[in-house]
Amino acid sequence: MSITFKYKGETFTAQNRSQSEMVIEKALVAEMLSADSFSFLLRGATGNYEQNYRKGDVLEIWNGASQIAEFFIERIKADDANFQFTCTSAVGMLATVHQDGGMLSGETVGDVLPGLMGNYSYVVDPEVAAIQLRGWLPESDCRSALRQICLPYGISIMRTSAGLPHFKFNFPTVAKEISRRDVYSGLKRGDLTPVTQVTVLEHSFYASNAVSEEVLFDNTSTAIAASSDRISFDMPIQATTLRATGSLTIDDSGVNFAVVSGVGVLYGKPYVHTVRAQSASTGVVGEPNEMRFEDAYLVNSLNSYNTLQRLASYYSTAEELDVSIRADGTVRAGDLVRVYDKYRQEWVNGYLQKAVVRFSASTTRADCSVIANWRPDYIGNNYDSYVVIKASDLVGGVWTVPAELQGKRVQVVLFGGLRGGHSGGKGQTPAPVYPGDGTWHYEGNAGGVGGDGGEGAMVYAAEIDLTAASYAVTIGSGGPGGISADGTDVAGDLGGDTTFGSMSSANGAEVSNYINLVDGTLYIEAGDKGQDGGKGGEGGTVNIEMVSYITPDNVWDPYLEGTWDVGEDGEDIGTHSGGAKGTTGWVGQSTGGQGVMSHGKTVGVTAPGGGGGASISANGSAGGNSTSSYNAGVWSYFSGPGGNGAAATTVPAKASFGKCGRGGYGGGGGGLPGKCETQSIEWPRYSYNVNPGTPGQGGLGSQGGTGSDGFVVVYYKA
Amino acid sequence: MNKGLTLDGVFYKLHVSSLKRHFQVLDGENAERADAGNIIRDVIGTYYNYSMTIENAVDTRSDYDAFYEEISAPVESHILTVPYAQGTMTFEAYVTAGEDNLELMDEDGTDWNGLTVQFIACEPKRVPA
Repeated sequence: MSITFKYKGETFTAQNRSQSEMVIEKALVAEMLSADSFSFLLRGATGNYEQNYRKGDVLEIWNGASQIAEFFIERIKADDANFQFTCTSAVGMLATVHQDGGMLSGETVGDVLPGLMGNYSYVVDPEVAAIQLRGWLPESDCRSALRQICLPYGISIMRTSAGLPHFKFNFPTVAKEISRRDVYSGLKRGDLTPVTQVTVLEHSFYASNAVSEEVLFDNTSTAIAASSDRISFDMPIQATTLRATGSLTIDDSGVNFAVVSGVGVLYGKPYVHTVRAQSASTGVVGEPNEMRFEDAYLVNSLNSYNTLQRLASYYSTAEELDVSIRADGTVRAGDLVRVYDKYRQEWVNGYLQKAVVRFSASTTRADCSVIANWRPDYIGNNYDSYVVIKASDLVGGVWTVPAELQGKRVQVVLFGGLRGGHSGGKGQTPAPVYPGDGTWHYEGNAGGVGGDGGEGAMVYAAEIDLTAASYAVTIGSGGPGGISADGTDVAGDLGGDTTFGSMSSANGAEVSNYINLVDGTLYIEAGDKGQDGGKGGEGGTVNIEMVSYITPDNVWDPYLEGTWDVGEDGEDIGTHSGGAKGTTGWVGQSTGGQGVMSHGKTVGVTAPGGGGGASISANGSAGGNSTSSYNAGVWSYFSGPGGNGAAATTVPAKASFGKCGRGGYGGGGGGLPGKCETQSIEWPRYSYNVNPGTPGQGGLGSQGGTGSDGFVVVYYKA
Repeated sequence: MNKGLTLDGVFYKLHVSSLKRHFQVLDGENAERADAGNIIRDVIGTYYNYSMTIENAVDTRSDYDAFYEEISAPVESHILTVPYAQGTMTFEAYVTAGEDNLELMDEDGTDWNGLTVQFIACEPKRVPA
């Protein structure tokens, strides 16, 4: 065997190198992510290697005509004519490459890897590439991000025969026997630290508007302006909720960061983060020693069981054997080898976890740590399929376990009835406004705002073995929508409890936006917003202008001329019409029709009212005409009243499966009364007693819609 | 053909009374006894070493002294040309010690004789394929 190192077109042989050491390591249960390393001394060479290298330059190791490893230069140090080369693997290089992270919602490993591996070549098996990732990927270096991805699923980063990183699930199953003639003397028991218990935290993240804003950055006290400063968050933030005050601008942002400029405060709402601890005893007797995995944020309810069992299995039975072997050039971490245990006098199989490989003149020695008495298992997701149980799936309140699920370990998730929608808003009733110039008028004729959709349901999850042939199940009814008697916003109620055997959704927590982790289906979707009511019509308008006449004897003789115009019909909603506008106004002294001008030294004008807005349930009322009344010798003139807005009495239909109730419909806005005005230019001044008509009343909104009935999701491994 | 030998490119007129060659197949650091009792070799290559004895004579006295000075110089190695098979072989070798005897000292000069030196090859002449 002839081992050579190739670097920038040069080949280093055994004649001009020494102290060659390659350390390869594979964390067998992905509990960590090791970086392989390689170093050697180039002796008696000429050249400026220490000046001309660039970090990341490729160095290949060849066994004869075959490449067996690829490393990247970290540094080259010179000592006279000797040069110390220190190299690392692609994974090692990634420790200094930054990635922004984010909230993963179904992106696959195949989608994510290119961004993490950059220009480094790698191979990924199809079944690994297809894994959907759900959860938080913190901002970090790319190597740490790879660990986040590998741990929950037990993805191994092995090496191809050419030494490239190879993302795969399957370990070798055929052991490579190491002849006793190739084992250097000595085989020792390793020193795996005994672990008595393994704990894995299962994480879930979801977005909710109900979360309070957090202050993420504040430079107002110093007033030192940020200039494209990068702010890293210590928790995932809903990117759409980011807002800045003052002169602070958000130049760029993500779930884990924002780039800001200026002075102000940066706010945002974090994702709701819930954690469930799962523990398993390893059966090892001794002083308590718990191994905790807390910061693997892609461990979720779909993979936590496998993650826990994989780790617990490893720490409960695995034995470490230290053995030095004469290796050929293809020794790789993760290889299954068969070595002779001379103490027990038996052959044992084990996975090569670590090897310190020393290339010498013609023989390669590998000091290996071999993990025996352990079988790789519990890889990928614990569950890859699911069934949904609705009321229609029950017979007499009983759910019969399908044959393919019987006896299986499953996760049962109970969803109580989903919350109903908010009540619909009341249409506005116009109210007087005093601008301060001695006049006043009515404003406020908007239709009632449709109620917000309901949000949330009680959710309880547990893992059980489906040992029974059937289970008693009750499905909670959807929660009713809110009802408001005075127009205030009333939220809908949660629905009834869903039960499965002795378990109940009532024992869980209220959750919004639950994502089915197998296919990304959104459950507990917020209800739709209710439709707004129609706007009330504007009241008719009036106008008084002064005009001048020049008499035949050349005297200026001013007069006032008044006119009025009609207002608006109320706004239509669907098939329902807004109230018709009033049609008749009044102009003193003579009463005329629309646009008829009257002139005199004293003029009064009133206009007809606007129609009331419609609702989804009814038409708006018509606006009125101008009126007058005589009482105790005094004439009073009134503009036309506004029409009443229609009340919304229709309750939105019950929400579809998995959705919260729709918000109630808004009532129609009240129509505005017609305008009125009087002016005089003679002395003593005389004015008409003109008054606005009454405004239309806003219509009440309707009750919010009922949320979807509850249901049960049973996740299982097909 | 002149009698003598060439060291560092200089021909010395000397009488070589004895020339022995030795070979060694040396192992590297990965050579060690295996679990089964066999030796695991880590062959670096074959080294050809030479040892010689040089006799002095009245007509070679100056070359003898010059050779002595050269062979005992504090340098890492020398280039030596020696017989090999049916021809010669030139190779880099190092010397760490040598010895000779004082035979005569009179008004004509001093006769040193019987210089023995061992040349050890700096690198293997042949390496594994």
